[in-house]
Amino acid sequence: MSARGRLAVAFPWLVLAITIGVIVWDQTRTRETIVLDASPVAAPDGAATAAAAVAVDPVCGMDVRRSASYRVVHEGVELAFCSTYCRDELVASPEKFVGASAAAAPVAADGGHTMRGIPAWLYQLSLALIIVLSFGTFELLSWLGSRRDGAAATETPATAARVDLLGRGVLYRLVRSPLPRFAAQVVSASLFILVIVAGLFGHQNPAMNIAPLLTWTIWWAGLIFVILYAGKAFCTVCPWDAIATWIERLRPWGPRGEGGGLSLGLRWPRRLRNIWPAVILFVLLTWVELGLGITMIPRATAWLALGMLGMAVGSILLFDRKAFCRYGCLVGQVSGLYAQFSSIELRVTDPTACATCTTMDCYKGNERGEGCPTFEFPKTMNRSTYCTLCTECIRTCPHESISIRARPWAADLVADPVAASGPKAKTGAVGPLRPVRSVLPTGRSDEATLAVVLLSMTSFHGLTMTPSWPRWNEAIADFAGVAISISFAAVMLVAIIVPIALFWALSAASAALLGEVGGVRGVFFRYAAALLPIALFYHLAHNAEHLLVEGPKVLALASDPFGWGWNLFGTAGWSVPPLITLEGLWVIQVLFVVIGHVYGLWISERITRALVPDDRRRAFVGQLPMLAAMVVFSVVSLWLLYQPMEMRISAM
Amino acid sequence: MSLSRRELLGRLGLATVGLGGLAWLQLAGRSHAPTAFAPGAARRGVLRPPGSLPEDEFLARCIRCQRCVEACEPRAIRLVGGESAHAGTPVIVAEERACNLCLRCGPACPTGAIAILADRSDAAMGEAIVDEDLCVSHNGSGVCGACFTACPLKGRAIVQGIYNAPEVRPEHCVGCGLCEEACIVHRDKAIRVHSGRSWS
Repeated sequence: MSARGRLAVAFPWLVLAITIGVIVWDQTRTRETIVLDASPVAAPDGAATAAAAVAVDPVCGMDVRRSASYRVVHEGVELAFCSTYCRDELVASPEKFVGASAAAAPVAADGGHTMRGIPAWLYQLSLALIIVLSFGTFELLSWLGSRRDGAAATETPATAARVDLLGRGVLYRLVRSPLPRFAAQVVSASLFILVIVAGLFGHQNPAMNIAPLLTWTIWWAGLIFVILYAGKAFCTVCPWDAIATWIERLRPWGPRGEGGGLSLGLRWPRRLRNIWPAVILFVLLTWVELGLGITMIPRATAWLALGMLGMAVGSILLFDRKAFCRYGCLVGQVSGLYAQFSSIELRVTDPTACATCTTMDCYKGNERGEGCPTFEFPKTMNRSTYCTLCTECIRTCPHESISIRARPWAADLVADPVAASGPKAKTGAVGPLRPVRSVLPTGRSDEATLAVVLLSMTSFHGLTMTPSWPRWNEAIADFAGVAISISFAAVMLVAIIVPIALFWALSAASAALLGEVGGVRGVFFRYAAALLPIALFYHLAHNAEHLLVEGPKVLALASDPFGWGWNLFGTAGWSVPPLITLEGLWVIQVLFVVIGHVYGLWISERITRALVPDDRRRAFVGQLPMLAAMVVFSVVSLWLLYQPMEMRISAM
Repeated sequence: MSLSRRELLGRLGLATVGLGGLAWLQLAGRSHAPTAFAPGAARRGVLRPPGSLPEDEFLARCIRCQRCVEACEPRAIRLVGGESAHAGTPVIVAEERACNLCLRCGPACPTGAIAILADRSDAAMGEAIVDEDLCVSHNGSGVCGACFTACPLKGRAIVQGIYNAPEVRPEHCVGCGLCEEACIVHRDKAIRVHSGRSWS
């Protein structure tokens, strides 16, 4: 493997190290304490709490870790701040926030926890960076690369670098055994049951019940981070699938026995053999999540989880294999789209073994495991979209030719651009193994739509958390004379349609400029792949806030999951501060948005090169509308990060 | 157990909806051809999608994944029913719905059982043979020309004689079966595709 290949595989882990480094640096560095007025005035209650590890920012109302905060000594009391912005505000006019008139402070009045967005200078700097990078940089790099690559053309491209993670030793044997996966499924099913029991029978105050935090903050926000590094690993241990499979098979693991399972084994309806059902479910979930606010209602969270279980059990009893996992599951499809970016993959490692294989146990199944539950054929699988990493094919393969490998990010999205427009095979000239077909040969309408919907729904999620959102929503509802939930649905619909319409219009412009590329549809469906990293990394930037700021609260809730006054681990009384200060968070968020944008640019450049290989001028001009679309989406992401956010925690 | 009229009707309604739904799913998911084909089907041979490998290798490679069925534009590809070695493999029943040579099945096939074709004139599915006793243009009972009109390679694969009587040029005919679908003779078609693929 070339040095560039090694760097490409290591890069995702480098980003992880940098992110953890930022958190550690943020939490350990010493910040100077400003002394405004050291003489103690009559404020004995404040002095009593001065030594506590967790303090409340008097300006924004956030919990902050005292050791990692910005501190000001005012009237003899040490005050702690989330950021220099809150600190400077207090230094400018301390009487507004502390002392007799403190009750009049805006935060104290409504009890909310508004988190500040990224500062203006960082916002403008990242905007400038994105615009500079967007136009021409990648074409220049590719042009320089093509001049230099004359000699290195035979070298394997860095995007093809892979590192086998299982080897053929102990780890491989472990994955071949069904037990480790079963153990992981038992753990996840137990957590699932915990959420159900807590949601249905626990205290209905979301701050005292573990169900909402575990579901929405830890799982739903953390899921995206898991996908980035481990692909659809959640599907591997998915409690819905685990419970449904146990019910259908009546056995803990292994393929269906002699008598078969309880499933009727019907084929999934032909018209629904796409991911439109999942797209619709995803939009519906966003609506119940934000429109009905079920993230704050433990009981509704539990019922939603049970509803998904009902769909999973119903589907497995009706349909062949795991059709629901492939076509219907919104979690699976959101994961699947992002998994094309993931830094690991499950693939065939020895194509020559496949070329001579006649049994095709990976698709048909044998006594060691079942055929691919999601109807994938590992030999030709070149995208991770539908692979749930269930490892059944690793178990069934008699040639030990399937493994899990580390790879560079976005490997599925940039692979083999030449073959995308390459010639078709000639009649009868069928080799032992066909060249792997390129990614998104023409693109698929359902997957492209989900990519844009993911982008718009995540941004919409950000929008609903801005402090001015409730006012707008009420104003719209008042204006139209309808209920809030209806006006919300209407605004959400607009939030879906506008980005799709915008991207469609710009695709039309690109199609006209690029020439023979299959019209607007050809451009829209293909270039949607370039929007995926932008959606993914804004999603990550947004979720980092939930995970790092709200997530740690789970430590306290773990001791009293149902809000019944228990104290299992002695942590129930803890007031857990965020894992990061706002200033550290801003660095991570901006870093993510820029990384996502750069990957989008790179993918767009590869797609263009595959579509128009011979005419650099036409490729550059034709790509401009697509670059404009990406800049618009990234700028919206940054603008949302620039806005203050009302955290869910505010009601907790 | 006593049920009121309303409850009884309600339950009956639910049961009907449930059974109807199941029946719909059964129909919506299936794509099976009848196990019993028209007379002479075994003699003419099974008609496979364009680009299919020779029969032995085709059967070894086909994993019955149905992706060709899903990709088929005219929905001509169906599956062999029953329990034989052929069961679940793709088949075209030309007289009911013929292949229009869209060639989408090749790229959809994950195993290479159906090869990707560069041009529709490469689709060596079989060869159309005219039964001159049945054909109305040949036997003098009428003037037809339906097969010529339907032929995607007309003028090359089928040429017309007097009274539009068709003549198939075997070197150009790819065996798509559009002529067989179009043939106006009803009891048995006057033009049929022979694939030479055995049914055993």
